[in-house]
Amino acid sequence: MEIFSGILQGFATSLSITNLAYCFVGVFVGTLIGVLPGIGPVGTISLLLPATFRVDPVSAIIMMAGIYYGAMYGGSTTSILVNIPGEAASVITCLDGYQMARKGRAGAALGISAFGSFIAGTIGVVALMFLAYPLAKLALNFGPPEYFALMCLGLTILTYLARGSMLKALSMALVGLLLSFIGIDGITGLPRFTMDMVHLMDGVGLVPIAMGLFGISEVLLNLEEVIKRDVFETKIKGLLPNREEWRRSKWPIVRGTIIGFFLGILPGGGAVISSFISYGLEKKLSSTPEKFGTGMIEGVAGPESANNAAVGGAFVPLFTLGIPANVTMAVLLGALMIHGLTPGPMLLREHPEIFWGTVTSMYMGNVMLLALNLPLIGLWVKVLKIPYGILFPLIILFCLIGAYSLNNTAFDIAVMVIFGLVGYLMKKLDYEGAPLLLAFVLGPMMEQALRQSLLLSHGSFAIFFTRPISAAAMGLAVALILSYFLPFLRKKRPNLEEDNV
Amino acid sequence: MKIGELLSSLLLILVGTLFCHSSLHIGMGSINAPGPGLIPFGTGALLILFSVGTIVEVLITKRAAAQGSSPFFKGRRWGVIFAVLISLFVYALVLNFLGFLLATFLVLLLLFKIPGERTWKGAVGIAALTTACTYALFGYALQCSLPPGILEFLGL
Repeated sequence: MEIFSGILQGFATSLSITNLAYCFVGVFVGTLIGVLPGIGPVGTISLLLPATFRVDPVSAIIMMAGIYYGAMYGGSTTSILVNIPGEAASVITCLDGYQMARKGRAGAALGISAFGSFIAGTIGVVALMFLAYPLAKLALNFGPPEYFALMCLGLTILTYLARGSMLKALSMALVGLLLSFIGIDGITGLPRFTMDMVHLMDGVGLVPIAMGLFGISEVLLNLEEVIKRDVFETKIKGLLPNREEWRRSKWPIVRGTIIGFFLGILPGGGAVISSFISYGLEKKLSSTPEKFGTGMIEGVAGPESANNAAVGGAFVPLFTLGIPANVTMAVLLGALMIHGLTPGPMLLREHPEIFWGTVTSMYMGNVMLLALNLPLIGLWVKVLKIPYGILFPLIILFCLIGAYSLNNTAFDIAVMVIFGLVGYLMKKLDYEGAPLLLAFVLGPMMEQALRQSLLLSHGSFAIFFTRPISAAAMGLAVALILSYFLPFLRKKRPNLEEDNV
Repeated sequence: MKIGELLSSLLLILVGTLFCHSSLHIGMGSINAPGPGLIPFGTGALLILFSVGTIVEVLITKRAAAQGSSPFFKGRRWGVIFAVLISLFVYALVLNFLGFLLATFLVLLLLFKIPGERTWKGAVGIAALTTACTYALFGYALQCSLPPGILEFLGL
């Protein structure tokens, strides 16, 4: 019964004019940055974070969630029309979506990805609602060892799935942890690693790091070469897929939704990975796998549904455990904490309106996105045609203002520029930014949980292996690390980007 | 590529060492009563360990030349990237002195001009317009406090 009263309360929150407006702004901006290459949801959410300080936390979260799932919709548009994915989660859509466009079925491809996203997004939200309460109840019994073990597991999965060397990804996670230790120690009140700089007393800011690593560095990468973007010149007509196309897309959408939701719960880029797995699965199940890559609608419907369902899944660990499953959720967690809220099992009990308001707003957001993406497709195509020479100074300008206005200090701008350079070099050298940022957000919580656990156990690490939940999480994490380092198992490690494309 | 990977690993070893070194000064406590330096020390030590591991991994794996990653010196436009970074850094330094309007106008002028597709006249126009619009949006509509700097007398 809790759920039904929750839903009612949620709609009461999300249907207010203010929150509808924030939801709209969120999905609109989300679609926009999904269409634009070179800035993703992480950068955008960090960017808009300062603007939400004076706003009710519910409204802020509603808007930021809207950016996240809106970007998933927008990303597919560029994949289909230009063969350039706006978001990593839409990379796979290029394969068949662009081919469909070349065959004159751009409308159907855009349509099925919007409808598939809508269906999957909505089901994902329903599943989130029903899963959150039981899980949060369970999480109330968690102590520091469980939290520490779960966060370790999360970081391990993220580094395990990282592109390239797991050692490098683990190193990045450690760098993120070290960065998070800068500033006043939460337990003793002593300053640590501040190099006697006043600005570092409060620690390094999440926003400048996130915008540097995921905003500025992307811009720098795009500046390397003169990008030519040829929008596929075709009359986009008939956005409604025909009956045959619906019949072929039906099951891929269902399967994509299930894969997306459950992979979304797991840490490590759920939306991206689930879209790849969904594509692989559809290809495997198809009676004509050789035709994939030539404009099969199944190859658009499945992955596009998967990446949207993953959004719902990704909220599960954030709201129930307070542990973000991916970088976007990590930034959202940071946003909640800036608003003085600690996500986790207590949030559902103490501030149910935040959870239910956000969840129900996602229904509204999905409806708005359908309206935004189908009739307004022409607008997004125009946005695609903005030359990069105009676009990149604007992206940088927004980053500059975003970094400055958080604390009204130019120091944060310098931090952002430094991390822009660092992020750029990291991409060149195949180091991933996601483990660094996620570890940076988790760092203070992990340290506290570890210190408390050691106090509880009088210094024995056995505490992590004697309690069932933490033992299971630690065991899994250790198994993942071993499976990477034991050479005979190494060949089996999934290399998603290479195997499935 | 190997050179870059080795150098970056060495850099990470240095970072780890620095953190370990200052952790010792902060106070390690003991394992059953961890002090503020203990966990950073452990983290730094692990970073050193993994970076050494990366070096070993780089040295022992024979890789095909093209392994997906883009070669370091592929970009022919290093100058552009360098110029953008320097402009942004200088922006951070002069923002409080010059104020938002002037500093932003100048940095935008450079950013619009640097890729080399626009004339100075065009760049000045678009930079001025963009500065005015963002000032209206952030300074007035969103009420962000932006530094006035030397243009304070204008009372904007």
